[in-house]
Amino acid sequence: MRVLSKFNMRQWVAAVVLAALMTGCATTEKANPRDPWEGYNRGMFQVNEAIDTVLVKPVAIGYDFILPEPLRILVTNFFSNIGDVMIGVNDLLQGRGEQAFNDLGRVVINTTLGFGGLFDVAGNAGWYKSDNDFGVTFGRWGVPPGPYFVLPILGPSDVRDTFGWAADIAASPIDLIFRDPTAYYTAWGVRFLNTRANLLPAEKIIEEAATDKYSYLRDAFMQNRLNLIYDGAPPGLDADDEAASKADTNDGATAQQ
Amino acid sequence: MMLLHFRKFFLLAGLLFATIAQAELTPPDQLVKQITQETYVYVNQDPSLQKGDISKLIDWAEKSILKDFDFNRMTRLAVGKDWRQATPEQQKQLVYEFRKLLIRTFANAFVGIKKDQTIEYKPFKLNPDDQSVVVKTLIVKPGAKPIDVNFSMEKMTDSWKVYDVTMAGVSMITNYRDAFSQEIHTNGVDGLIKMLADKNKQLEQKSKAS
Repeated sequence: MRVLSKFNMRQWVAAVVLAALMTGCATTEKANPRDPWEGYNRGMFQVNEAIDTVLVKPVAIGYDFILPEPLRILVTNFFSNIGDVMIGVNDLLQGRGEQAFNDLGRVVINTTLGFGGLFDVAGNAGWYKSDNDFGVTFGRWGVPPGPYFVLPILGPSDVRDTFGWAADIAASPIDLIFRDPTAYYTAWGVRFLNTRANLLPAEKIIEEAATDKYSYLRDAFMQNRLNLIYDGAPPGLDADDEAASKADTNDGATAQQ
Repeated sequence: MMLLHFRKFFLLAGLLFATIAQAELTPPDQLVKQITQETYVYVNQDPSLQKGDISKLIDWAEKSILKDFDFNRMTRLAVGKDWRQATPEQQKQLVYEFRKLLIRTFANAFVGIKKDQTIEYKPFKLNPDDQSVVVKTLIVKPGAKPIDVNFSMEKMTDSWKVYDVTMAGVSMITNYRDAFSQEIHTNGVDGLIKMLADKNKQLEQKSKAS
């Protein structure tokens, strides 16, 4: 339960937010009702893109280059196994017993037979990894997403999922494994880098598909979250008449039955 | 009497033909299986495709699987309610440009599916009066979270056709809606056509350069 509150860290985030506000002030057009902070968001998006281009991506490419794919999969699996613990807990919080059985079962199998989570033995046996977090739990409990909100460095989010993300960090058992602060922050760093490296192949698809990368990522984020909250069956997306239904302006607030 | 027989005969023959035609429609789940398997096999038999040379894949797709995609409907879905304000000529241009962009996107997404990945098909049941269905698949890759890929299919007179593809809940079609409507509201339908045309040109130049 460590809180990221080093003073210089806070200062740095403040500087990034300020930069976002400054670059983003120009655009104030009203378009998406879910994105009233578009001016700030676009600014932060640009700041994130810049940080990614000059810093994160080059390091991720280096990481990708140095570490052969089999080793990278071990790193992915290791963090994925730790992540499965809270995925299972969130399943339980949402009352999805069967899913929790699958996800916590994964932890048991992979921690033992998979050598501390280095190998996804469970996945190979058909116990597939799933997706869950506190943001989804809040959504299923009826918390509306609130405005779209681009986080520094981390990117697309909304108000609910920002709180969800904070809860994810606070609840993650990573600090039980890495007790030493240096090791703890290194673990998060490696996890972040590893995730970024894994995203490299998907990047070209988005880069080439998007006519406006900002709104493409925003709308993809919102559709993806809605899909998670509704467990693969979001309402309205199947609406037959294309003229109607801007289904995604609705939110997951009424998700749970 | 004779006349009655004839009529009966025609009626029967008509019914027979109708059922044959019905039976010949490949069921949507079968069709998705065909499309994905053919592409999977094609992508994996050629090392240059593995390195990301998608122009070959696009040429191949044009000749084989793209007939099963309804790009008209896809464009209508992406443009949304502004579709009606476009003239037939504009609509044609929109479909032309958007089709190009989409094919490229599909190809980019599909060259990533390598031999170590498998496509699983979720159970599917077709009711006789279904006009629109969703066929669900799962792309499984060792060491990664499986991705849900769903195909929305519509029943046309001659076959079932794909009109939307969603990956992890994200529609590759409606995801454009906001960007498109914003462009139409600032620069009109022609603005959107130009935006898509410019995007396609830029991508073509890029792939020529590399």
